[in-house]
Amino acid sequence: MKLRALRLSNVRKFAGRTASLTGIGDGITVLSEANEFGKSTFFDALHALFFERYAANGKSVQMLQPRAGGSVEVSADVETPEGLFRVEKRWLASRRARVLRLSGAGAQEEVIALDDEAERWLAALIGSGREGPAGLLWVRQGQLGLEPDSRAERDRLTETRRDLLSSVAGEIDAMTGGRRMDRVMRRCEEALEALITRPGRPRGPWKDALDDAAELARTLEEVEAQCTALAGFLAERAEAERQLQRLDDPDAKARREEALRQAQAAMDLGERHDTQLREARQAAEIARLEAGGARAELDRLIATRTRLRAAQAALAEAEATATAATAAAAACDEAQDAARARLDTARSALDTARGRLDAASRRLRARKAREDLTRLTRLLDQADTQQRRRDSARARAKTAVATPAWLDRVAAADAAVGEARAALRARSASARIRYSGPARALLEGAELPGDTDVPLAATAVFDLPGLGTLTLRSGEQSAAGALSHTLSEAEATLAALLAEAGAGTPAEARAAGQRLAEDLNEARLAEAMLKALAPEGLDQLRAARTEAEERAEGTGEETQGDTPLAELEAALDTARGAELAAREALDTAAAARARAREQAAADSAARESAQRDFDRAAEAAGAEAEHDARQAGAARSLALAEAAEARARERCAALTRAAPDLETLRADLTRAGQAIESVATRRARLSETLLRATERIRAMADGAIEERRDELRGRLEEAQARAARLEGEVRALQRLRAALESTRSAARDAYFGPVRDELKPLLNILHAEADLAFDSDSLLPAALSRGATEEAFDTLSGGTQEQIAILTRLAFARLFARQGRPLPIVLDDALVYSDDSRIVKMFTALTRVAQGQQILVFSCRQLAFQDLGGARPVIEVEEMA
Amino acid sequence: MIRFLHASDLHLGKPFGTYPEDARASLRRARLQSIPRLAEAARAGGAALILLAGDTFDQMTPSPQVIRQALNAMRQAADITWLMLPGNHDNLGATELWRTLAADSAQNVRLVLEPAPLPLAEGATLLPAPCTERNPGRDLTEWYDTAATGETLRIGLAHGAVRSFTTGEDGASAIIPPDRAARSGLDYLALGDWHGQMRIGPATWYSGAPEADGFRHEARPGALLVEIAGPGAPARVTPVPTGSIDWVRRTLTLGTGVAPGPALDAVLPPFARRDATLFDLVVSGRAHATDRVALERAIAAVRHDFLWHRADLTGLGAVHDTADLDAIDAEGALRAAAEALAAEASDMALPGEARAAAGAALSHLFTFALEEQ
Repeated sequence: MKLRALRLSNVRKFAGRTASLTGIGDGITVLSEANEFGKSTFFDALHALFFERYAANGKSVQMLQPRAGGSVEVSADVETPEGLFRVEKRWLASRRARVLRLSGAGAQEEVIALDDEAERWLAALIGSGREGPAGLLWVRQGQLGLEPDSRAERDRLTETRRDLLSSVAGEIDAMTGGRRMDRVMRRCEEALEALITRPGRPRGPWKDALDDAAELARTLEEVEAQCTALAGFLAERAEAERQLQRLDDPDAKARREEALRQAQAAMDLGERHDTQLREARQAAEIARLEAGGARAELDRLIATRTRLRAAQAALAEAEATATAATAAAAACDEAQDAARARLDTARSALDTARGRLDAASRRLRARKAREDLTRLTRLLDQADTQQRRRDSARARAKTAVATPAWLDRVAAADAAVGEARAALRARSASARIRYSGPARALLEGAELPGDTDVPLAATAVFDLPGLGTLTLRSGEQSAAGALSHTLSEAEATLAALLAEAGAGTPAEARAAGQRLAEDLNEARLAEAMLKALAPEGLDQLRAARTEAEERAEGTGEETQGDTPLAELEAALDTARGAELAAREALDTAAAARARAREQAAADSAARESAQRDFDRAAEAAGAEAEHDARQAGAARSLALAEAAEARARERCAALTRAAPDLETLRADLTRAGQAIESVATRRARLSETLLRATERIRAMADGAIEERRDELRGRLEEAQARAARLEGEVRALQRLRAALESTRSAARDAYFGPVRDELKPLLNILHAEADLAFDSDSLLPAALSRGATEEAFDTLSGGTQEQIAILTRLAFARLFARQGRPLPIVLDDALVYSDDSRIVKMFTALTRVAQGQQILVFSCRQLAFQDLGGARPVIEVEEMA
Repeated sequence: MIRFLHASDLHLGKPFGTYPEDARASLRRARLQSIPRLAEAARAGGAALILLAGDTFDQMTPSPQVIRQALNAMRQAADITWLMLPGNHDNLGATELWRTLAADSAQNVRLVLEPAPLPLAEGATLLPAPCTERNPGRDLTEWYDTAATGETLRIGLAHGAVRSFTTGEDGASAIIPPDRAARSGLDYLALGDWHGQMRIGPATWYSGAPEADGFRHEARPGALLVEIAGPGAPARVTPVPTGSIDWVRRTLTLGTGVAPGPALDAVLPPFARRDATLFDLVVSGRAHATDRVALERAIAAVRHDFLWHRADLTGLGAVHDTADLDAIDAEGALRAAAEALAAEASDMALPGEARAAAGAALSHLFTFALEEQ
């Protein structure tokens, strides 16, 4: 679409007039006039034509109306691919909208749409509503100057700038939903926040509904349990009543009482029969006892007679036995006497054998004592010898001087002498002579040995036979003198030591030491032998010999030709055996005699006892002449008693056979009684149950729990339905939120990319390598990148912000043009903040865009916009017809 | 000739738990007040006898307050004789209830608890069939066949479903044969259990509840005035309305060219009855979003007119055309969101829950967008 002409009738300052702007070019068209010329009126009227419905009566329309009133009319000639059209709108009075097709220079007009259809035609032409993309191509609000003179003017300019940016944002908003989307989203969020928490948990009415449902369910469960209990109590009471009814049935009660009565009667009969039976049994027992008594009397009589006869026989037998026993006892006395005589003989022989053996033993002990004496005497002699030897050796050793210590001292003194001599020899001159003849030299009067080094004193005088005397003097007299002195002392010490032992030389001293050692050894040896001979000491040995002497003295001399001791011992054993046998025979005979005497005494006692028995039996039996008569009487009594017993037994048997089972009768009676008692107990229990159940039923009935249960069920149902409805509401709101977020995000993504692509070359006209970033929330330009630096948009100068806002619009316009929807860009005093150099660059950007885009520029800055170029039509004003 | 009022299913003490507290109180009060209304209806019809065919009480053990107030209301109508039959809700197993009623009832209240002929009036015998259990599982009127009543009128009084119903009011299996009256030579069979008034045969009727308790039955609740001239004469049955609270369920179907406001006005109950009306609006059809929003606003405007009100719009489908979506925005993200939700709401390949959520989301979007112009 391209604008070709504009006409305003009765609009603001053009009251009663028509202002026309024709000759609008394809590219840039500049309407640069002074203030109050009517540029903004043209701008507003044109905006209203496209974006205010003819039926509108709002402020934006009313602002077009002149003070004189009247209808406001605006028209525009627009060129589209379909041809040239005129769009007309009249507001406020005689409202109208028309679209006319123009055929060449507006000569022929054809109305193609009216009113609402005209509005739809127009909407289709510009794409969408006022908030849509087309709207962003309108940049309004002219400015008086670059530098505001007053605070109010500065504020107004700031507001203007904000408007400018906001309008950009508004256009972007239109695509992404913008502030309206924000409000809708906020409403959605508010609605959701009323129902769920941020993590998505129920809150508010939804939570209330869920809580209500949960609480009601819990309460309902309790109440239903109470209802169940109530039903149980009702059933329990009904059952108790049924049972009570059965228990109280008169027929059943009569049956129970009749059963008890019959059982009692049967029990009474049974007990009477039992009494009779017991009495019959007692009678039978008495008869049995009486028969027993008769039988016992008869038996007693028979037994008495029998015992008498037996006693008589026993007495005779006892008398015979006693006589025989007396004879046997006499024979035993004789046998005992014979045995005693044999024992005396044996004892005499034993004494003889024992005496012979004792004598032989004494002789043997005497011989042994003599042998001991001899041996002990020899030992004692040997021991005495050894003792003397020991004592002698010890005495010598005790007086000896040449002890090992003394010998050590002698050896030390000898060594000292040797050392002194050696030292003296070392210091002294010596002389060695080799004799060649028999003549011998004398030294200090002694012959000087040949071929031997002889030490010399400090002054040595040699007698040299045949030669004279040779005196030698050593030069070191003092040293030799000291050594000589030492030697002398050593020799004196040695000599003193040797003198203690009477030894002349150390060798003699050592010999004395040797002797001392030998004495000591001998003493030890003698001591050892003494110990061996008399281990317990000499005194003990001497005591043993004395004891042996005493024993030897106490025994006689051994008789030659004695019987050997063994034989004597054998004879003694034989005598002992004989004595023992005799003694045993005597014991046996004595025992036999005692037994015989005892038997005789016993038999005598038996005879006496038999006599007494016989006497008693005879006494018991009484007169023998009455025996038979008494026995016959007893037999008759027995027969009578036995007959009575038989009769009694028969009666007992008959009663026993007819006797009822008392236990059974008692059980019947007990059962019948218990049945009645049980009924009474059960009745009491049932009455109690009934009472208890009734109390509980009434307590629950007073609480109207069933009514409450039904009410709770309803309320629960309502709460659950409410919760479900609110859950659905939450789902719907969440779905709406998701849809809004998704589409807004998609719209932004789809929108910003192409816009930035279009914007970048335009931006580079002003700033090389510049790029613009948009804030995704505010949708406003957020930052300008130039090279490596990035500046927040609100820190940019007003001019730069203004330029970016206009360039953004140009970018939008190019985007629409590329999409086949070229729309004119209308700028109303847009570049009020731009300096001269920037405004030229902006002109370049506008010119670049204008190559494919119609741009209509309204400006009061005639001088500044001279360089913009483009068409320059003139507004023509004429009075309305 | 005998004349009596046949009523049933007062369900005194019914808690109406699904309703708000104020509505519950009104509903409970209305049920209790049905007793004097029945008495008045009987008087108006020249009857001094009211047969209550079961379910006078809603529970086995109603609260003492409910029992006392009911008996007091009957005692108040001293010129009326009330015959009360156990129904399935207040069956004979409710021993405490019937014991209390027996102990506390005035002389003009008679409890019919035995299935035995009962002289009703001069020349008329009542054959009661009290419910023994919640679901007796047998035909309690079977004994009518052999019940000896002489030459008197035979009036049956029973509670339960007849075979012509699939189930009874509470879902119990039908037991009473529909031809019981003819089969047992009854001059009239007064039935309870079905809360709506219903004629089963010329001499067999359900009186219905004197006060409605749901939206199930369209007919106005009430009782039946019965008049029988004599043996062999047909029963003259006259419905007598007694309900004080209206249960109104209306279906509103929207479609192309149906303006929501006028359509709603057309189904709304009259103003004078609204405060005593439970109004359940079920909306179906299809509507543009703007129309839906308009309808919702219209409903919201009148909702406080009623004792209770509910509007179910879940059956209202959505019509989304360009104009609807334009109402949100001509283009841009809001428009795109609306289009996406509209497509999702009508995508039959999606689960119903997802479609419903999308539809509801779209409805919200319309509301928000229109309010945030």
